[in-house]
Amino acid sequence: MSKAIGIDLGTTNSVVAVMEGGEPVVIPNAEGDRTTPSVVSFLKNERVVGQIAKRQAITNPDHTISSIKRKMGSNEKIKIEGKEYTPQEISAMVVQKLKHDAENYLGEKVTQAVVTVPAYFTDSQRQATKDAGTIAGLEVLRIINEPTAASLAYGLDKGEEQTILVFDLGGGTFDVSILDIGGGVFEVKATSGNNLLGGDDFDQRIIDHLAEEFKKAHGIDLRNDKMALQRLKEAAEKAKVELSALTTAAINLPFITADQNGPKHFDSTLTRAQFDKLTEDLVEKTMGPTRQAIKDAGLNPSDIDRVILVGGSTRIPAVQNAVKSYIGKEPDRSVNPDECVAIGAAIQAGVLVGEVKDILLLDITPLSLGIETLGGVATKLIERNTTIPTKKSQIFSTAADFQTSVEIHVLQGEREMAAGNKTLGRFQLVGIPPAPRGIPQIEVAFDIDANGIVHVSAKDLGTGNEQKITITSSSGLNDDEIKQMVKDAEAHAEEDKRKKEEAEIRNNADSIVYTAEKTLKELGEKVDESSKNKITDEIEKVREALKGTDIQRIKEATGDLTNTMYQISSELYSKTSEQPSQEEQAGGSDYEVVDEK
Amino acid sequence: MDEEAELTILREELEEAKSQIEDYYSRLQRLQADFENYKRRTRIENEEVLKYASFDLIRELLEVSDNLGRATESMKTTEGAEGLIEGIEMIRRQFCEILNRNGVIAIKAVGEQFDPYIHEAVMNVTSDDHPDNEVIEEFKKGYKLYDKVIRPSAVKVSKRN
Repeated sequence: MSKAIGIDLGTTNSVVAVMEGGEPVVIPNAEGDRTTPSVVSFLKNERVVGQIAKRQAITNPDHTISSIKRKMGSNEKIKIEGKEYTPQEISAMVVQKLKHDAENYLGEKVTQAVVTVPAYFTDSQRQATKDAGTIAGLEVLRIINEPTAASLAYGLDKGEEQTILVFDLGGGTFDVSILDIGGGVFEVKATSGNNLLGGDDFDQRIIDHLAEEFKKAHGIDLRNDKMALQRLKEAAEKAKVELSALTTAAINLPFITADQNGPKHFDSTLTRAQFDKLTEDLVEKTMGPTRQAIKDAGLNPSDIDRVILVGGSTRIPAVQNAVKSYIGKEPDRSVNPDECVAIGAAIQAGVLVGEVKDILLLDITPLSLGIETLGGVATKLIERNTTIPTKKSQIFSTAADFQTSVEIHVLQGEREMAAGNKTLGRFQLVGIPPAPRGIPQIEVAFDIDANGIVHVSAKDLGTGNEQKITITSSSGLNDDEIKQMVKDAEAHAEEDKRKKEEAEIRNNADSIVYTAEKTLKELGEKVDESSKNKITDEIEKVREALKGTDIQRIKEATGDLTNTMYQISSELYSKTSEQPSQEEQAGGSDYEVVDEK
Repeated sequence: MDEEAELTILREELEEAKSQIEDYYSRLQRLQADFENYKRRTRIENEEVLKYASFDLIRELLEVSDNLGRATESMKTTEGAEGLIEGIEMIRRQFCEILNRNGVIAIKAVGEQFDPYIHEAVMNVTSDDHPDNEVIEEFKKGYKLYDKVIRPSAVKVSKRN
């Protein structure tokens, strides 16, 4: 029952993923990174791959090989220390590291894999890739196209026939592919690209811009100083990443260099608009092949049903905008663009070894479920996106003295207030023995079975009395309705929050009044007349406030009353500190209160 | 004959049920195995996460320490700045001590054999004064948090002809 992994064997970076519990996960390598540089290096007595190989490339250039993917399928041999290696042998070393890291992660041997290749790879290039897997000790179950893998990661194999454009801008290569997908069949209609275009070019533009800016101000070219250049490079890459999310990035490099007048600092900002201007032609360079691919497929931009963005550089807003404005559709980028090819490969691997089929499809509740509580508040018991089957219960109580029945109003939705949500059902639990409010314990339980059927029960823990309801229509909403409800909740979040707070303030005021009156009655003669009057007075004020809609007034009146109560009770306790307290405070604070019917 | 046919049907049904049980059982096993592995790994990962929680923060803070170093280095050519240099160096030392107490270790570089696991070569020079592959200059100090490299030392490496 060993697992099959999915490998994205890239020109600059490679990624490995696996299906786990029905979900594809990217496997971090031994260094803790999710991507591994496709670099191999031969040291004196060992061979290193990935980040470690990259780190020593400068001092060991003759024994370091990168971008071997560009040579796959050729007869070129790589000579190292008098020994010749084929490109597939070098590639195999990268695969081997990925395999090894996967084994460490999974804690078991890995023997099978799906490996991806660019859609334009010829048969001999595909064969060479397959050989690389074999040499690394893996049975290559299938070689699949990178754009196909990306589509799989987006789940596009299911559903109706559609035309997809996969736009893949990596570290050093750019590929665009047009696919027809339908009934589990993927057909590549056209491919195009630019083998020497990628994120590194964008970095270089920033470096040059910053260096020019500095030169203009100080007359020193930082590119001639290796150490300064190194810092500039790091700053440029950081700025690029920041500009994907923000509109300005700060460049802050103190003591970058010095001249006879003393130290020089680099303190500047780069705006997204500047960055876009600097890289305008690079973005345009991606559009040529895009237009070509669409033309080769015999299509118009409007024929494209979906656009998928792959590769880290598609995080650049200008790139997204260019694609969007040409195709006229918002591109999909919900799956991490660095990882989606490997994820798709892992899904394919899972299908081929039968794992994907084997997974029990567990559903989730698309919307939250709960009941209405005092003040019209919707109290959630089961949060949305909870995996079912699931069960949850909570203890509630009564809202009034001697209340003998409660109504359970079952709600579905994300709004804070009951009125904004959908009613799934209502029922009464009767026969609660008369007791002060907050005393009865009523357990409300929600149980959703694997079929999405909701069973709601309310049980009076005092008497064991129980009432139930079964709701089968909770899934009666279609996807659009669900989306709408979630959207509504977001749109009304502020307003709902305010309403809920209001309800809570009112509930609180109500409960303080209740406690105050009770205390007053119980203490009787122990409290002097003036205090009594003060409390009665303040109770009246809260009551008055509750009649109105001025929340601030309710809050203040409640605050006054609470303070007075504290004062009086602390005085009382200090007077009678020898006597043990006679009663415990009966109040509802431990429990939420079920709506009074 | 009828009985025979019924028996055949029942047998088939039994076979089908059996294979279904097998199927379900294997699914269960697989899921259980996944889950056990997941639990184990989550436990390990949690320990790692706790231990290395400050990793990224430290990496960024090291830049500040670098710049303090650059400041004092640059002031060494300024006359009358000795007191200031000393002060800033004390701040930097304090900073390093705090990091030290929290598991951050400076990586040795100059004079060591170049090791790509902890060093990053940014330059190399042909030199006969040094053994081959020795670190002869450090541009940026490298650090480890416990046994994980936060950032490798950026170094110049000697090459012999």
